[in-house]
Amino acid sequence: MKSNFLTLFFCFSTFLIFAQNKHTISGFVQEAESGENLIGVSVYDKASKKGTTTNQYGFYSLTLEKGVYTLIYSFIGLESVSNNINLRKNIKANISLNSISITSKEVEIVADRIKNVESTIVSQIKLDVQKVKQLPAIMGEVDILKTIQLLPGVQSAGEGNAGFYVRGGGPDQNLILLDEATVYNASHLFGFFSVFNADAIKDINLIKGGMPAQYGGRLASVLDIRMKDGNNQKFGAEGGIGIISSRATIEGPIVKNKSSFIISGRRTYIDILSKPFLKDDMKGNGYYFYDLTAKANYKFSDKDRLYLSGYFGKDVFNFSSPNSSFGIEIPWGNTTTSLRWNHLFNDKLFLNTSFIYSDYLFELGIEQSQFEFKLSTQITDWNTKVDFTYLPNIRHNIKFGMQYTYHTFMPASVSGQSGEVSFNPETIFKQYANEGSLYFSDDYELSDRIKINMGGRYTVFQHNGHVAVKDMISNEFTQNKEDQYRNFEPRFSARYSINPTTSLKSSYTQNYQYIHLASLGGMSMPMDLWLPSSAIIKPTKGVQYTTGIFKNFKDNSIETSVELYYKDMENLIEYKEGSFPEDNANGSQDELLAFGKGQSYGAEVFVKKSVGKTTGWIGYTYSHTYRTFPDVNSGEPYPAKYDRRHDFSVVATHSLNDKWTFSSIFVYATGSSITIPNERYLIDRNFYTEFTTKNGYRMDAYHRLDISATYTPKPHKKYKSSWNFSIYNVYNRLNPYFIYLDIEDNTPDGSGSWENGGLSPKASQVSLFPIIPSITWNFKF
Amino acid sequence: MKKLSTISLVFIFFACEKEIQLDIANAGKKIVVQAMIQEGYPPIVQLAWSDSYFANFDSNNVMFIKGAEVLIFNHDRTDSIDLTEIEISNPSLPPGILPGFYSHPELDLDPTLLYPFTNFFNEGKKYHLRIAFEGDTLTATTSIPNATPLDSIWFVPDDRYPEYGDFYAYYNDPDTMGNNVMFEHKRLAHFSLTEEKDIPDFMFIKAFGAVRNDFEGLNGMGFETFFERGEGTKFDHETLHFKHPGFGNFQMAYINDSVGEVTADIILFRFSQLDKASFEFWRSVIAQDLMNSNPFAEPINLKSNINGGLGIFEGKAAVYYKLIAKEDTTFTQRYYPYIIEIL
Repeated sequence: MKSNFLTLFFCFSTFLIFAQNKHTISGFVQEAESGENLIGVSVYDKASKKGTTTNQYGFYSLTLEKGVYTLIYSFIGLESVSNNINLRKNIKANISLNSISITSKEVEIVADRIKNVESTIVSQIKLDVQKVKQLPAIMGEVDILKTIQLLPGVQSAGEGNAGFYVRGGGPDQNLILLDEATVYNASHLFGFFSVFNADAIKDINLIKGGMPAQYGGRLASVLDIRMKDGNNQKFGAEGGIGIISSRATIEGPIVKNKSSFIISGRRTYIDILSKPFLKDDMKGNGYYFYDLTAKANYKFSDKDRLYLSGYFGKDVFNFSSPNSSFGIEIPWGNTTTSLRWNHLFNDKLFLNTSFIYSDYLFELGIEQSQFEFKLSTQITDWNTKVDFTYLPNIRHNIKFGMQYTYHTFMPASVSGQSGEVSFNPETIFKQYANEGSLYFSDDYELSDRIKINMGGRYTVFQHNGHVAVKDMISNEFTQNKEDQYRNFEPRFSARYSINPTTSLKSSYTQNYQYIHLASLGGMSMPMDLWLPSSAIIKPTKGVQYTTGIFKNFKDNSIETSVELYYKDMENLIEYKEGSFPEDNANGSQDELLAFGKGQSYGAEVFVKKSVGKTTGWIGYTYSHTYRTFPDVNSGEPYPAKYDRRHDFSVVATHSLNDKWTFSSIFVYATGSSITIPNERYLIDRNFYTEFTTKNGYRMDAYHRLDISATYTPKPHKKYKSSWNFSIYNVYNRLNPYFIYLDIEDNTPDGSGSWENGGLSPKASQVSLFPIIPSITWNFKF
Repeated sequence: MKKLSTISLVFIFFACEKEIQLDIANAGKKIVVQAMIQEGYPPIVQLAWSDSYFANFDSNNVMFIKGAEVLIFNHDRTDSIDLTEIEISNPSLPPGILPGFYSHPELDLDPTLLYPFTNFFNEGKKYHLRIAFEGDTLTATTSIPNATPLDSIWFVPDDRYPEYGDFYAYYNDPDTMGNNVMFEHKRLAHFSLTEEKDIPDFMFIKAFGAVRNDFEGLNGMGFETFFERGEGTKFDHETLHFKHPGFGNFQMAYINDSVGEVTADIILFRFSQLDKASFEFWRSVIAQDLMNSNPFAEPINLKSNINGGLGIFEGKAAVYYKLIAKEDTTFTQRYYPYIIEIL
């Protein structure tokens, strides 16, 4: 007994001695000029190059052996800081980084450029907001979603379509977060603009594969966007005036160094500008959108900070004809609010707790004479998240937490009136669901060469009519088991360093998605319906395998990667052939849906140059995406509507001097696959159509060149400004938006008929955006 | 939806449009069959070719198939009828019959024969179709379910438009799953007030909601319904819930002093039980009608049961009623129409 105790005491003492040999340096990194906390700052030991990065709130923690170190704090676009420390005890070090003063921008930002080689997250791309702002923008509107669609593996849904596709996944399979709040429809004007005002954005992070365990609920990707906090040093304003829209941002301290705010707004005036150009029968048209992003934060102490952010945006399309009594109004929009509390327990344990509200509503109203019709669809979430980050030592970065969401769905509510006859549902059909998850992950440096990220996510989902929280808790998820789902989602990724500039990475990800977007036809419209999993609609399951080689050249100034992926999906949903959501309006949509599988595989090549006067990237994706549904296409496999064999983009920015910067974008993509008529025949004296196999026809390829020039004059005493000149679609390529068919009457008196002849079918292609020049004046106080 | 799809682009004044040629492969000709059998009546088979979607519309281009060999076998193929191509110029036949029309040989001889025309077709039995033409052989199978009469049909005048009204029916669905029903009608007599002349229908009209089955929560239930007039001969959804004068309604009997007494609409109403394949075919026809060239709609092909071709071979367990659009009138008696009334 005595000897066992002594052994234990000796081991414990030895442990204490070793533990006492390590100390932690931690703190927050912010931008000096604005006081903004910086995300993803590299903090590393100059000698060993080992270190960490700041989290989404600018916090870092690095535990090292006792000793003397030179720590480098490095962030793209800012001047690095070198800090000599003698680590004999735990140290708190809050660091400020200044803007870069030299014009050539040849700065030591090695740490940022080796992230693509060093990180365990396989398919992650971070975008620099400042670089995004320099790219050509249609009508001068910088667009984050349009920019990520220039990356390999991310495909545009096409002009006029909202959403984007990642590695063969549908638009609903992308988790789009704005300060942790889910944004369900991130587009204005049918995909023309995104809802994100770049002036209010601090960080853009896209994960296409190897999704870390703290993210879930979507199969394909995560687009995590963080808003700026607001300048807590001084007041400022910036904005831009363009030809169809304008934007303005104001920010400043509420209490200097402690609290700040930022408010960003945008509105288009297409409705006003277009009026003189519209023909008589088109008078009464109007479209506009606006969005407002607002945030405030308060730093109670070094340990506690509170953030409150919100987004409010709306699109409204109006049409009313003075020549008839016909009118149509289509408003749609998102509202998100998030309240977050950061708490630092100690040097190693960081907590963020969030309370989030998110809402998306689409409405369609038609009226003519005494006839009125209204269709509405909506999804609302109340969400809470608790996320811990634990950094016990330099080898481990542990994350764990829980999330809970209460969903309310109104899939399709229809009402109408004709004269005295009215049609109003007695009750609005709504569905409710509870979604919860627990997760854990560890980013673990196994050795100098091998780093792994292991984790898992346990998810539960319950769809059971209206469920009060207390009922859910007391029932312990036992009521109506057909509507309940529980799944485990393993996540694993690994990186093997061949040498300091080359690594191999692989990942395995399994996800479940419990809410789904049912889209009509070939379009991704704002009126698409969000539906919960139920006894009929099973959760969609996705398994993705990814592997890639990552290599940097020329002192890490050129980053390259080649990635291969394979994705398997089950329980995908589509509308059955010939169905319309209004078939089951005011009721469940479940019976209108067909279920099936999907496979997607491809190769992505990415070359990026981020240093020097000329920067940019080249991305190429070769991919196949197929679907197999027993109730669609007679059960035969068919290409998904976003199956793009080739997708290629070149983005280049050149800084000529202090005054002029030039940018260009070239994109090429295989045409979208659609279903078109093949034959026609008579039934009951009427002609009916035999279509090709589903998505059996390819539209013409999509390609386009955009250029822009930014002129930055000498700064005025009180403000800075720049002029941006852009040309979208320089060679006026008429890219296909959709194809429609019509019957043309060739007779002089309009008497054509199938019996007498004189009719001929024709196909027409509609294109949205020809060559469009634009000028924007940007200002900053 | 069509207006929305058009208008949604209107405000984008940059939108451009151009005519294009679609490179369609395999737009070859297929044989299209529209064939119907029912107890006591001659079979009706219409044969034509399909055509490339982009061929010009011309009746000469809708090539009707002449000289095909058409046989219908009974369930165990122990008996058959060899159909004859009917000469449509026969003055005894009603107008509107298209070429490529095949039927019982005796119909060619005397289309004025009465019901029961033949005992070959019986409810509850299966039948097989075989068509041979220019080296191609098409086959199909259908069955004639058991007929279920309606409980009653009655006429209800429209409150807002006193010259018009609708027919309502009460139906008791059998307590077995898989009952598929179809409502059709044709006006045997209709005096148009606007054109002041007799304009009967030459074909059965299938209006919106004409095809239903008991999977939609109706099994074993009795329910009241009404059938729409429809426009022309197509399934028509635009009258859903909203009525317009002379459209979606039947013209009721009344006396107009300026033209004299006006005959009410006289309607031949057919209420049929269908087998599953026939139901799915007509449902897909409705779906295509509702698509209405909308580029945002989900395309759907007609669900054919013809092996080697397109179209439908359907067995109808039909019950007919002869109705008069007259206020305070209820019909319960089954009617057995003349052959020429159902062609």
